[in-house]
Amino acid sequence: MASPDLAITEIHAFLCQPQKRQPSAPRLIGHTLVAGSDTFNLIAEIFRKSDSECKIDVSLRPQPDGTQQNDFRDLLLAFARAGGVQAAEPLAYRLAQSTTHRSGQGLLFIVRAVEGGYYTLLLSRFPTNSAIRADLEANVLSVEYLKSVFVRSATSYKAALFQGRDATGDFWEAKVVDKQINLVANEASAYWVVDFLDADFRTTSAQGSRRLALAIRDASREASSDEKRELHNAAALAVNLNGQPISVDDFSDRFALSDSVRTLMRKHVSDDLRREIFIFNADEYGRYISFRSVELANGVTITAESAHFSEFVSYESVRRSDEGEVVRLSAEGVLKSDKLKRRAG
Amino acid sequence: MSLRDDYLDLRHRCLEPWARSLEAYLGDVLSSVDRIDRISVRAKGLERFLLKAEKANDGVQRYADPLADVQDQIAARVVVLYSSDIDEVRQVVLSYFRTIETRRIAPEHYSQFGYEGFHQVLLLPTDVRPLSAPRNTTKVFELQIKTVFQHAWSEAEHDLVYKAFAGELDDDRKRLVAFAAAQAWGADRAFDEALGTLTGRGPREQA
Repeated sequence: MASPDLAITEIHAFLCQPQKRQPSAPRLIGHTLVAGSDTFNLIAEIFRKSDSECKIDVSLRPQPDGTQQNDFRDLLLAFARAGGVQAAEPLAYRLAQSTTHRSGQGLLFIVRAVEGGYYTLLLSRFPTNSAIRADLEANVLSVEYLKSVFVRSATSYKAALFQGRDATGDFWEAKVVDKQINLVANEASAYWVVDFLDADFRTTSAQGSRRLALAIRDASREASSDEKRELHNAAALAVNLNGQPISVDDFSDRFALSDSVRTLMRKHVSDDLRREIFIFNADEYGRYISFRSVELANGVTITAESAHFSEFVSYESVRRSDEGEVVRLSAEGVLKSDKLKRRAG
Repeated sequence: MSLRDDYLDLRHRCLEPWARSLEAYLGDVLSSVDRIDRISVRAKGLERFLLKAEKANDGVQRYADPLADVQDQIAARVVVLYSSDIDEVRQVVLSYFRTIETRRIAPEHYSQFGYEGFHQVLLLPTDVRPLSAPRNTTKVFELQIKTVFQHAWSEAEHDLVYKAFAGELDDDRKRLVAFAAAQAWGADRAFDEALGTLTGRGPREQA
């Protein structure tokens, strides 16, 4: 990933006005930063931190007819090979053509670094904002309204990091910063990933939902009774997340899982896989994990994996009563835990 | 190190373990699909890789950097019983993998018979190829989906073309091989229509 010592060959800046649905808009004029200048050093620092900041994995899409080609990728490769502001401009122009007035103008920096035929490229978009500058000099205060200030800390800052060789299988993946990623279905905020990069989350909905389900299932098999209860409760509530972007780590955070449960899940899913974001699909999740829980009116509850419930639990209908069906449940197995707990109140 | 040595090293360290992992992964995600005859994944053999790496078009080497450009260093094959099953496998694959290429290979003219199959180039999932993998390793694999008849014909025909037998087939023998492809096509149609009759599904067009 982006090495702190990787030699930056060039940094170009473009002011990208929103030009969506304006195919005859004029081309952009770029500016190449002078190496060693304050702005160059600022962007270089962003570049060095980009690997840790760009956390969302995306993959570029092929043509709808299945042809192995992506317009954005072609522009990126052309810039990687040739370098120079002229080769960078088509990328900036494409961004302008993908941006609506709702997202406003942005200042795009394009960074290129090369090491032994291996390219690292960073596209970094600062959104526009307004600010007031104040100067106190010789006891005189002056204030000035700045109409177009570009701020990286804003929620609409975006970046995309690409690394690879000039090869057919490379540059189909990227890591992005998109603080609006939770609104990816919203057209206004989706322009960076969907329209500009023509990309999607690298982990498919089915892939990620399966991964989460298996992590919960496998952790549950090694869990204590309390840990099982915690996991099963969270697992059941997870279906409410259908359609939302999430990662395995996000799941642990959202349901405030205990440290011991998180440790169990970490045993079954690597750090990299736990951080990958995907759109949660409850149906796919349900293919791999579901728990069946039977509760009696007297407070007795028996829970087991749906797939094995009838194998482990004997369920017998005894009689009908005025309150409902009376059933007898029985289960046999090696005792793991028997805790005496006071009832609340 | 030579290309031979580089590939041998990568094949042993990375491609073979990833192929095994991918086969298990595919088996799991396709477990709900009926009528799959087999799923196999293999790392490309050294000699076949070198043969491909040396390919040229009009004197120009096709792969500037074979280790980076050859996209079937890991190749997966799913063989199904009936041609109508291909689409179901495709849909599952599309939901679990990111594609960079999809194409159906078939003779160009309706009067011709030859190789048929459904090919995709897909990104290796991070469950198989970790993010920490060496950066000079492939990031993709090729998936072929075929019927048992398509697979049988392509395997038999492949050996005729690539094995070091003496000489080359004359036109009459080539026509016989094409005739066998037509029979494979006919067998697929016959079984698929019979299946359609039993399941109440009408005759289908090729995927």
